[in-house]
Amino acid sequence: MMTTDGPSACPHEDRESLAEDYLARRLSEAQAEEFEAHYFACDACFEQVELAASLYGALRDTAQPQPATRFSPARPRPRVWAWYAAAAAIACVTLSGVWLLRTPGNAAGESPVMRGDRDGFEVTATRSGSDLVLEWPAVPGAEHYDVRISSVEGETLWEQRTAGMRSSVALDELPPGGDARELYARVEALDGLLQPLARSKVVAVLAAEAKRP
Amino acid sequence: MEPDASDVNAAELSERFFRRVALFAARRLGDRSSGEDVAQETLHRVFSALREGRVESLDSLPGFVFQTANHLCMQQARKRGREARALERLQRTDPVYPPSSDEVLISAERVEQLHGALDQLREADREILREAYENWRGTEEIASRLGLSPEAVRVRKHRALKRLGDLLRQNDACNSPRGSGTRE
Repeated sequence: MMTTDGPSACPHEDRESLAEDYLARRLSEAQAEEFEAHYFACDACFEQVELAASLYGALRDTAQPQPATRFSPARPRPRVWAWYAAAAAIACVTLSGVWLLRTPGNAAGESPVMRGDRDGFEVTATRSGSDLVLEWPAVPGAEHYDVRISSVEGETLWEQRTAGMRSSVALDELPPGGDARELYARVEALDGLLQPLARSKVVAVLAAEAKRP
Repeated sequence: MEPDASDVNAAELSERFFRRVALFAARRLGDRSSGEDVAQETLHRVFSALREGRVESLDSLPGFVFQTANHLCMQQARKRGREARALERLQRTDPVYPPSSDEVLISAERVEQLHGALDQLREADREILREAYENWRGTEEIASRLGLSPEAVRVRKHRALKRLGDLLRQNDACNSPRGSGTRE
């Protein structure tokens, strides 16, 4: 049977903070790698990483716009008013006796957790004549979408803010040298105050080129 | 007599390391399914190495698994090539977000379990956990917001996590058909 390192063999007294900092990418690359090599051998630290990971995932994934949501939408550093609004919503939910309500869809499906995670939504890129057309599904709560097309070097070549779920750009409007096969697009969903709600996956415009007749 | 590394069977290897490698690789690659693929491949390679006597001892096994997983992650990243580099560049200019569920490998069942346990905690415990894991604040920032010392925040968080962990274990034991502590 394989032996495990108990807490007594572990030098990390504050492993909770270490696990959080690791998952939240607040450690340097070297520190992260050192911790990774350590938690492969240390059960106590890996247990903490798992618990922290589960908490990050669970609290983030319940960030739904439905009335029964108990936690505020996932976004970086929510403002104080947003926190109080979320707290008020939580109190309402508690008082109305539906504190334990769950999203029914969470119990089944291919990847049910991902349904609650608005990040990473898909964008499809297709070619329509000389235009590149980007389309994406509506993100709950989003009132605007920022569309960005970048070169492979990360340089932003074209940007547009739109209220719809579709955007198109004439390829010849892009800066000279913008070979369509080297372009990448990403859409960011924003709420009414232009705060980011979710980001799409990056889509390679190469996919659109492949559909070209 | 000290157990030999070649005595490790596939089930033990998987039980001990699959989630470690999957979580590690998902965080590195930013993608849950790639993380699980790397975990499968890592365990396959490690098991072969064990059978061939290429792992010296049980003590060196975690390091061997880590090095194998690390190597496979680097291979994956290289394979993604230009697209991966473009993605990295785009991400660098975006606002910082907490880890996505793609990176933390949590199942719907585990989410339910966690919420069940969170609901059983005191509000003070929930508050500190929300600050850390929902609002993604570090210890110093939480301390400043709540008017506590960083040490007090660490202690409160430690106790809240301990209570949460105890509840999860209790609930796991109740829900497991055999009364064991298996999680997922």
